[in-house]
Amino acid sequence: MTRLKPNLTEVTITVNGEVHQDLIPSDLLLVDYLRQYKALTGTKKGCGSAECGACTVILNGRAVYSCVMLAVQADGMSVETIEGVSDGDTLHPIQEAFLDAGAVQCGYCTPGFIMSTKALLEKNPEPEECEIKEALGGNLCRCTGYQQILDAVHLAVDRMKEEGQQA
Amino acid sequence: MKETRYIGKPARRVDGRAKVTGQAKFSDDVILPRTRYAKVLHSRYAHAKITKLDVSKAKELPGVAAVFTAKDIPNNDKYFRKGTMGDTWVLAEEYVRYIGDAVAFVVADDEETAEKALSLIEAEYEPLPPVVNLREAKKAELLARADREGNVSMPLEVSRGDVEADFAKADVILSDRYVFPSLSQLHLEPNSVTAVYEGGKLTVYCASQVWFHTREDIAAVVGLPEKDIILRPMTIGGAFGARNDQPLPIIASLLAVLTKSTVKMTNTRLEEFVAARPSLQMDIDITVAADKEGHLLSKKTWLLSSHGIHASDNDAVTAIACLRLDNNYKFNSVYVDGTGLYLNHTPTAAYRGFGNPQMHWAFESMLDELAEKLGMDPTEIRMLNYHEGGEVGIHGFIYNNCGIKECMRRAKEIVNWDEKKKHKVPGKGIGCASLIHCSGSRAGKPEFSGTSAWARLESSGAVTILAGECEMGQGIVNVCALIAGEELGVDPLSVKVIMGDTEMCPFSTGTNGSKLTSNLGNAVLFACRDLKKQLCDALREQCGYGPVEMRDGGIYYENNGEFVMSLEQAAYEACCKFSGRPFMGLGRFNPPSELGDRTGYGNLAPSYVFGVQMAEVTVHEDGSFTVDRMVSVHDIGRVIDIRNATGQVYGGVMQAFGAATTESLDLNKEGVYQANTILEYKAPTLLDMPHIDVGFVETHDQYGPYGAKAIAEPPIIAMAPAIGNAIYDAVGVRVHEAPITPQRLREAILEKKKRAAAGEEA
Ligand code: FES
Ligand code: FES
Repeated sequence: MTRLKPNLTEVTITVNGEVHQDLIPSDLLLVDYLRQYKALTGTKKGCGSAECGACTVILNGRAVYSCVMLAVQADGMSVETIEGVSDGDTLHPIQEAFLDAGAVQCGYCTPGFIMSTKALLEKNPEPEECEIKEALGGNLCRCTGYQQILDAVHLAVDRMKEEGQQA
Repeated sequence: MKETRYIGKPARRVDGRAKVTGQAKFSDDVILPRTRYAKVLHSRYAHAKITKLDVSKAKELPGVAAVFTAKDIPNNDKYFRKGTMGDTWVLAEEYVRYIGDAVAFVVADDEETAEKALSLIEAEYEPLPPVVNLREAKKAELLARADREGNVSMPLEVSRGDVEADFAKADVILSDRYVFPSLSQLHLEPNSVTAVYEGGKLTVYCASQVWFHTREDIAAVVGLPEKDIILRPMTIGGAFGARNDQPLPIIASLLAVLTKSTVKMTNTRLEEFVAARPSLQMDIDITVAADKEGHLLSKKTWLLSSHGIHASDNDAVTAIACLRLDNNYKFNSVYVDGTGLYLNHTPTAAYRGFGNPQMHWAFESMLDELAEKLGMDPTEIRMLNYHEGGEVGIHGFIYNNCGIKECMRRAKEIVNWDEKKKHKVPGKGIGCASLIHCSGSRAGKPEFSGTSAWARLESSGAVTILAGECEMGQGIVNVCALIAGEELGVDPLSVKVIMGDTEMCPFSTGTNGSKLTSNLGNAVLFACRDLKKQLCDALREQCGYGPVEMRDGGIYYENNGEFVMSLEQAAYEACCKFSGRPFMGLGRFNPPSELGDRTGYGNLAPSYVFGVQMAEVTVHEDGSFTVDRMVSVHDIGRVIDIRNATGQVYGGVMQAFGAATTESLDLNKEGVYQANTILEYKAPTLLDMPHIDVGFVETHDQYGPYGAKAIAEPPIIAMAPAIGNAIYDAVGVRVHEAPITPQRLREAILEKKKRAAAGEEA
């Protein structure tokens, strides 16, 4: 990380597989870096204070709240956002499962839930129910009552197992 | 039931793909060039006199375009919709009257500068005692508003039948008091608006449940004719009634006009608590009269409800709380005295259920008390007093069908009620409650009932539905797509549904009162039939094919059923024959419903929905408890979209569970909400949620599309009292004020023990 002006920092962040070099304010939040600098508005800001999970992204394989992380903390790391989950044509099995289980209503929480689910399944392809609940316990949804989200995760697990696919 | 291809079958949502890929654009995702950012300076006091307001330093800050205080706002007191005008203001002038009251606006080049400017505004206040409690507000020793005589914002007194005579002949009379808190709808997406002003015209990107009302409100405040204002709906991250009446689209529009620029505003989560439109707290006294067999004879209700600092949808909410539930049981007579009160907190408004959850909390709890007194099973006393299809409720609801008894039977079966009642396990309890709501309601809007839609077929064969209503997550776009798919024989996922764009869509009164499945569903159905007829007529006559019909994505000869051509080809040929015009089917549905009279009597909706909700709980001596399971069975007519309907029930039940156990917007003495963050507010997470079983009783509604009725609001209505009743069943103790926190339950248990001990001593 090269320091330029006191408040501007050069960072190299891999976003959805592409390497980005940017000069950014050192107090810029990761969520704002993604939304404002990269126009990746799929990552949502529901509270800005680590209470809702709408801003969840995957940072070097771990689901994190991007609203309470500085973008400079991601320097040299790899960030995956909802925009990187499908290839623009074929959906990821988790996305398919969310559609088939009816896990999406208003959809505002959906990117966060999908990222949390993806991070979980990458590490643990066959999680127990309690492990799913724990992994998604930091994501708030006000519409679905969570049941169909839980169904979606189970569905994704089953389908990915059948297809021998990795998250 | 008629065999259908799409109706009632599991289907993906038409808007689903955009939502799972992050492509759906919500209001805060709007990024436009040359956008300025505006921020609001909110009052830190619930009630105070403004002694100093100096914005000069803020104005001087580089990057600040403008700072506004009350004197800079034309028509500062002409705020919001017609009915409430004069009761409200844009910026506080002499007094601030709630925490969150807007004192000044800052418009700056970027968000940070706007925030910095806020901190440079010098505001001083002389604090006044706030009114934060309903009973105190009623006494009116203190006033919430110096410009009002008392604290009453709305009185309502209704009497039907001979109440005193019925009380005189009652075998049992029971009285009790219940309190239900103010709640945050907590839609996950904070309000955000981008308003673009250019050359006398305004375009507003935002969320609203009532597009045309919002346009009207904006017009009144900014002083532009409605025809020069366009509202462009963004994807809406939940609403639940809260976006019936939101100040932000109006404020951002005003600032865009005043600064002749593009202005963006996004609420913080804190603003979503203090300056939003939460639900009404209600404090309810009920006295009920019954005969010894358990027939309900009469009921007297005194209700106080918190309207916050000014009128909003709260008048209508209080009215519905006062009346709606009475229609669910065969009363001879009822009396209600309802009072909406001014308090020093943000104005209250609709939340899913529209006043019904508050009254259900009170009366459905009371009904269990009555059943106990009469030695009856709680399900039995309800079954005895339910209406049947063909009857009329006491405030004028006409039931063309009513599946409530079947709901009760089904719910009992699911939880194995009779067995569980017979074999009681210490600490375990089971409870029920029932509910009534409207389907296709007039929803209090005076203009007209019903709604309209267009079904458009382009030369390419693309089908688009246009309606002026709102998709806020509830899935009405899918109901429209499924109906269009069914009627036109096309894949519902190929149907585009455009909702609420005020430039393109038909006028509507707004999306509330669980009215869309009935009303818009029909409008879409009729629009599609009209489209089909127009196209087939054109093919037969102008294009010379003779009698043809449209089905399965194609055109077929009527006489022998042979395939003529694809829909795409037909659309193209017919369009060419008519000089390129698209085929537009127009559908309108005018339901047989009426606004209530002055006493609230009237058939407010074409149809009514019913349901029974049950809960199972385990309660411990220390007051801690778990809800082990919830069951929600609904009569919603024919189910159109099974996945979404089920999802609506899960979501509504979850919100009721939150209200019953953890959520509340209690004020402290200074008028500060005890909860100002999501964590403090304690909305349920996945880790908190008990298992939910959903059941549908499919009646056939003569007015609904394919026989369908509504489902959006019902699931939230009666689960809280069901949980309260289950807790009573477990430990014989009732917490009268929701939420039932472990502390409150523990106190009630201790109180009961104390009374028992005192009783033994005596
Ligand atoms: S926006 Fe990050 S947790 Fe809510
Ligand atoms: S779908 Fe609306 S918040 Fe989850």
